[in-house]
Order: sequence, then structure tokens, then C-alpha cells
Amino acid sequence: MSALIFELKDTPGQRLDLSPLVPARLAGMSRKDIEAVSIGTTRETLTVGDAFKVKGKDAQNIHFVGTDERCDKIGAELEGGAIFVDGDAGASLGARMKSGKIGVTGSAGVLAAASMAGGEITIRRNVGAQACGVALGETMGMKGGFVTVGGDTGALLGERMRRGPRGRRRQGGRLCRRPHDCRHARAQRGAGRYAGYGNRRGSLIFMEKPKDILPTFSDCGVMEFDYLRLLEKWLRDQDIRIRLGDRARRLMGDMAVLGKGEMLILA
Amino acid sequence: MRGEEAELDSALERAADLLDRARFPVFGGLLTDIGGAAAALSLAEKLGGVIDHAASAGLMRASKVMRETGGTPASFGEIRNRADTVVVIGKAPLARDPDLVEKLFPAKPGLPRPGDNKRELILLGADKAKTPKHVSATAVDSRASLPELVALLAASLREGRFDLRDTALRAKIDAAAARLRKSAFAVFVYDPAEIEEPVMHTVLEMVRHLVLTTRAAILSMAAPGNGDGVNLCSTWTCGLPIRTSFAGDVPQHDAWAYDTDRLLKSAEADALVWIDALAGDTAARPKGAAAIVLSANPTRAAKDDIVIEVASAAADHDAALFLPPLSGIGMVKAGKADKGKPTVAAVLTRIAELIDERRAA
Amino acid sequence: MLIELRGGRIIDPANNRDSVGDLFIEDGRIVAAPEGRTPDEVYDIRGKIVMAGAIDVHSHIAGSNVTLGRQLMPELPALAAQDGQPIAPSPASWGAYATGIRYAEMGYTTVIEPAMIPTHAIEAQIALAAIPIIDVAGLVILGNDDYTLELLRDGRGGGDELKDYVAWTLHHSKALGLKVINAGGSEASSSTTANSVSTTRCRTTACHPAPSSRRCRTRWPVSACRIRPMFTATISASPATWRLRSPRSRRRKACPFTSPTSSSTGMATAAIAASHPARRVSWRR
Repeated sequence: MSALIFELKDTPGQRLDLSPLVPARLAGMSRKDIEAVSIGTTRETLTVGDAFKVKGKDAQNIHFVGTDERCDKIGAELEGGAIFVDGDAGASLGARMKSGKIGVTGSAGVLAAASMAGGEITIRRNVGAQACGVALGETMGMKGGFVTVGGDTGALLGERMRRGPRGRRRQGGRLCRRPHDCRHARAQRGAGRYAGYGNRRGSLIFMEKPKDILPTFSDCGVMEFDYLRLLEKWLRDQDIRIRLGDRARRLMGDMAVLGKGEMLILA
Repeated sequence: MRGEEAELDSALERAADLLDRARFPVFGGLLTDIGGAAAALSLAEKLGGVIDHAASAGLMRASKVMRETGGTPASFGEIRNRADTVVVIGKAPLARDPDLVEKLFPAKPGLPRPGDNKRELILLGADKAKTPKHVSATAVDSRASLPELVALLAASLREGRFDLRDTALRAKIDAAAARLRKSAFAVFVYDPAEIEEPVMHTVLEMVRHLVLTTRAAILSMAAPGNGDGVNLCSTWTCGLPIRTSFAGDVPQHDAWAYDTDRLLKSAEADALVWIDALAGDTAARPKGAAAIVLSANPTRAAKDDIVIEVASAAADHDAALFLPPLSGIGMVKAGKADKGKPTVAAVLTRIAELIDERRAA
Repeated sequence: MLIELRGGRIIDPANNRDSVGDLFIEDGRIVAAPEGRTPDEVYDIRGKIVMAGAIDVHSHIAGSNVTLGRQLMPELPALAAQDGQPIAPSPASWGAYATGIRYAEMGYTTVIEPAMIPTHAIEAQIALAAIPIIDVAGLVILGNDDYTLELLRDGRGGGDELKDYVAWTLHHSKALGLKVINAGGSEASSSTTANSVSTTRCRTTACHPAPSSRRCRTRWPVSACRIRPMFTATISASPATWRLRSPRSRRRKACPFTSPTSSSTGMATAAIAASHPARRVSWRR
């Protein structure tokens, strides 16, 4: 069965709310019914058929083609199935998702993976501010799942994050996260100011020393971590090849709050 | 409109035409009283538009932190009368209210307060140049940024282990933290427009740490332009703060999406109602989209705007506004009532009636 | 204008009536069936019930505390709807507009907000005015404010001053009546923040040893404060019991807030202690 494909016709005149276009809600719907689904965000009604050319059938395997930064809430509250975005995604990509897979060839907007509970998101290029942060109506950020970002992230990455590994290749923005009870690691090359601000638990792994390290992260010295070798192997199993080595400088923090977390800067 | 004033009725008709045709209007500025805010909310709901306030940035941060972890606010009066340690964070509180220290530290004490400590002011990230003489103040200031200073104070308060090369700063931070631990009632004052959410959370963590053994609270500075008043009005009307859209079946709040500047720049909004009608305050109309400007200062409009001169709240008519000393909404009597100019509420209500007529036809 | 409600089931227990019939209204009052006059408006209400509108004397519908609740949890109506409550899963479901509609749907014609704080009465009245259809009013809270407590403490509770103050407050807050919530209770034991037992009790210096002593500020461990709610109720009930329960109260006199005028039921509520501005009083004895 061929994937269910939504090809964006033109840049929409309004932002689109694509949250109805998930496998759970489209299963069993006819092409005509799908095209009638309302996805506008203004009083000027806009349906799927107005904005997209719809092809294919398999609602468990959805492709968006040619989407841009006005296409919001792709995969929001996703529970199973796969969504592939050949283009950019707007705000709240995969927000509150529970399971399933989302892949984006381009970039995603703000609040990507906000309050995500499970599943996987891979974004080849950049994400906006507050990725893995707090969706409206929630009190916590990302609490499960796995997110990989190939490019840059914006400010406040991982705000109030609880769990879920997050790998990021390049530059991060300011005030990286305030995780609550985060157990998993992430590999980051470079970060903006004050990475780990308000960090209570969890590990932040940097491949390069971040600038403006908070003075409330206590330097514990360089140590060997078997855990890094295990993490490297596990990442390789997820198709992420990063050399982590086995030595890192450990900084404990954020001592301004609970401070049972750490920052590992690979030596 | 070529920058000339039109007759009020003609302007109202043109305004109704513009809004009736608009796909996604945004009501911005909202420098007005509670009555004006309520009328704007009602019209936005009728049209499926967005409401936003010029001082939203700080309001949105405070709102977000409150939803995530709540807060421990103390009323202005309670702080003035009972707090023995006041930590003013950053420069914005005193910039916003230069008399703030005088208000919080009255020269003659009012009501009795807990504990025996002499009242003390700690300025974190600001200098004490203009502190009144009768106030015992210490400034903890350095080249360190404000987020760092807050983190350092919090770490020292918890007596966590951390290193700081700047020994002079370390000494000041430790002294401030020691004072906080000894306080009977410590209060942290900050402006949400100046510090970001993670920093606010760290301040709240300090409060949580202190209340294990003593009393502590925060004072979040009120937004300019009756921002808090408008925000409260929105909340009690539709359950959501400003930066809310009424386009859908239910109102939707989105601090990022429903930002006036962003909506205009991206051309997602195709009409703007800019309200700038509050005594002693003003905000420039942002560029973009056809606009209806309700202003007590008509000269501030752009050339093609539909300009409607309105009364200035609290100057030309009595107004219900958020008053920081009350930590709530109060009534302000007009300086000299000018019944000649229509109020924001009257104008918006009339525009709504004209739109209803067009839609009934 | 004469209005007829035709064919409804009229339930009027006060007049021993439960039967289908017609009801006539003129100038805002129910009148007897008029002879030879045609009603100006007729409403066919067959199959519907006509009854006296219900009055909810205690429902938090407006005011600073209610708005605070909406600020803290805009998602609450959605959670309630998920739980099976018959409301729309929208934050607007507990806004002013929806409140009036829903109460009217349930047959209420009057709802009273029971917790208007004097300094926030204007905010409460404006928010009440935003509620459509139903009649609304508020009860204003006194008894946790400094001025009232000061009068009680100084033994001036029986005089005109307190009566004048209460009357003034009722009049200026446009309240329907007075609300007293464990007067003095929260001041005696704790304040709005958790574990502040020590500091507010310090203010009752009549109960404490010399003010210069650091022992004034009792430092309660977290566990002790878990029993605070019980402590509060006990204070109000009987000074003797309070003395007995307080672990460090050996030298304390009776709590001055257990005067007969204070309320003796209920837990301390999170009332914002509205300070009476610029009152200079000699507190320490």
C-alpha cells in the first residue's frame, strides 16, 4: 500500500493546524472525507483539499511534501504510525506524542517535541526555540522518547524536560533547559549561554566546551566513564555515529537548585 | 486616510468595513482600561481575531511560569509592612518604578512585623546609587550577568559547593545568602520582562527552599500600560490570558503565534486595531497591515490608518486599572473629565454594531 | 407589558402547586390571570418546568482567587470533560460568560460569590458584572485583615469602631453580606506560604518572650508543619487546648485571637492578608 501523501500546493495564507492528520484519526477515512477535514486557523475556512494534493492510501504511513514553516502541529499527539516530512515543519511538531516515528528533512519551528512522551523524532536540519519544552496545558517538558536534531537548536532547548535522550549536532541557543528528573544523555557540539541552567538531574554531554558555563556547575575533574562507551554503542544502534571516547570532564550542577545532574565535556 | 482626521461616523463606518472583510484581525497595544479591554475581547471574539498587549513579553513569561509551577506572591502592602529582607533582582524594577524602594521601605514603620532583624535591601545586579538614606542596602553587582547572579545566590543559599574565582563577588553573595537564611520574611522582587523563565524558576526555588524554615515570597513587577489589568480581564472572560485567538470553536492561547509583531511581519494578520489610550503611557503602532488606530495621541498614527481620536483612560474619564500598590484592580478618577471624546469601549462597541448591521444585510 | 408562559408544568411547593398551567407576568411580578386582556408576549412552554430560580449562596464565580485559579490551570475544564463532566473541554468553560449560561441552563437565577477580598472588591465586581443572565452578588471577607485583628486584640471589638469599619467595608465593596473565614486563624498559625508558623506567630508578641530573643522565631521542621491544619482548628476552639498541643508553648499565654467574635470552624484559608495602610499602632506591650 502506498503512503498517504499530502503535497502542499502553495504557501498557505494562514497557519495550518495539521493535528488531525495523524494515523489514528485518518484510519478508515475515504479520500473525500480526508480532503474535507478543516485545518485552518482563521475564520476563513480552509480544508485539506484546499491546501494539499492528496495521494495514496496508507494512513499508517503519512508523507508531507513541500510543507513550510506555517504547517503547525504535524504529528501532534501522535500515537503510532509514521510521519515523514519532506520539507519544513512549523510549530509544535510531535508535541505530546506518545509513540510512532516522525522524520523531517528540513527544519522545524518552535516547541518541537514539546511535552513528548514517547516515540522518535528526527530532524535533519534546525529546530526553533523551546524544542523538547513545555506544551500549553502541561507543567513539564519532554518526558520520554528520542529526538535527534542534525542542525542548530534555538533558545531554551529542553525546558522542564523529564526524560528522553536528545542528540544535537551543532549550535544550541541560550539557557539550555531546566530538566526536572532527566535520566538520559544527549550529545551536543557547542551550546549557547548557560547550558544546564536550573538543571536538577540528568546528564548533558558536550563534545566541545560550551561557552559561558555557569559558575554553579562544580568542576569534579576529568574522569573515565564506561557509560560513555555504552552510550556510543547505543547511539550507533540508532544510526547515530558519534565518537564519545571514554574520558570527560565532569561538572556537577546546577547547584542553584537540586544539583544532582551533571555536565560531561568530552576530553 | 491621508493622516487627516475624518468625521467620527465616517471613520467608524470605514473601520467596520475593514474589519468585516478581515480574515484575521489582531487587536494590539491595548493600552486602555478594563472597559476598553472587555470591548476589545468582545469584538475579537465576534471577528475571530487575536488579542495581544504591547507589554506581552513579560506577561507571557510570568503566565507560563505560573502555569508550570505556580508562585508565592505577596501583596505590596504585606511586603511593605512585614518583609525584613527585600532582594531586588536586576535593574528593571527600579527603572519601572524609581520610587519602589521608598514605597517598600517607608521611613516610619507601619504595622509590626515578624522577627527582630533590621530591614535590609539587597540589590542583585544593580547599584545602590539612588537608595534612600534611611534604607540599609547592599549591592551585589559585578560583571557577572543577572542569570549568573541569581544562580550564584541560589547555590549559596542552599550551601551547595561551587567555586567562584571572583572572591569579592563570592563574599557578597555569601553574605546575602546568609542574610536570607536569617530572615523572618524575605521577598524577591523582579520584572518578568527582564528575566527569562529559567531564571524565574530559580528564584521560585529559592523561595521554596526558604519556606522550609521561614517565610518568603515574590513580587513580580506589574506590566506597563495596564498589561496586568487587560490580562486579568481576558482570563476571567475566556479563561485564557492575552495572545489568544478566537478564530476556532474554542479560544486558543499561543504565546509564540499570537504575537502582534510576528503576525504583522509574516502577514498572517491582515488588519490591526491598535489601541493606545492610557494616561501617562504610550506605545508606537507597529508596521504592517491596514490599521484602525484608537488613540489619545492621534499624531502617532501612520499615513493610511483610519484614526479615531478617543478619550484617554484616567485622564479624560474614570478608569478601572491594575494598580501595583493594591496588587489588583482599582478605580482611578479622571484628572479632568473630557466628555467630548468617545471612550475606547464606546468606539469598539459601535464598530461591533455596524458590523452586525452589515452581516444582517 | 403582560407576558404569558403557556402550558408549562408549574412547580410551586410554597403554594402547594405542581400542575400544568399558564403563568402571567407583568412589570416584573407574577400576577393573577388577567381578565379580558391579551398578553403582549406569549411563550409556548409545553413540556417545560416553571419553578422559582435556584439560588447558589456559595459559588466561586468571580474575584481574584477565581481568576488566579484560571491562570494556574487553564486546562482544568478539559480535564473535567475527560473525566465525564458535561462541559466543553475549553478554558472558556469556566470564564464569566460560560458561567452565566451554564447556571441559567441549570435553573439558577442568583449566584453569590462568597470570597471578595476588600482590596480586590472592584476586580470582583467587574468580573461579576461580566456574567450574563443571572443575578450576582458578593460577600466581602473580614477577620483576617490587620485592622480588624488589631481592634479585637486591643479589646476594642465591642465598640463602634469595628461596627463602623465593617459597615464601611460592606458599603464600599458593594457586598451583599459579610464573610468571616476562621478570623485570625491564619494569622495565628500560618500565613499564605507553607511553614510560616514561626514568623506570623512572632507578631503576637503578647504570646512570646522578649522580642530581642531569637527564640521568638521558632523554626519548625517540615514534619511539624504537616500537623498545622489541626493546630489551626484547635487554636480557634480553645486556648487551653492550644497551649497543650503546642510543643514549645510552655511560656505562652492564651492566643488573643480566641475571642468570642472569632469564627471557630474551618481551616485557615489562603486569604491574602490585606494590610491596612499606614496604621501606626503601639503593638509591643
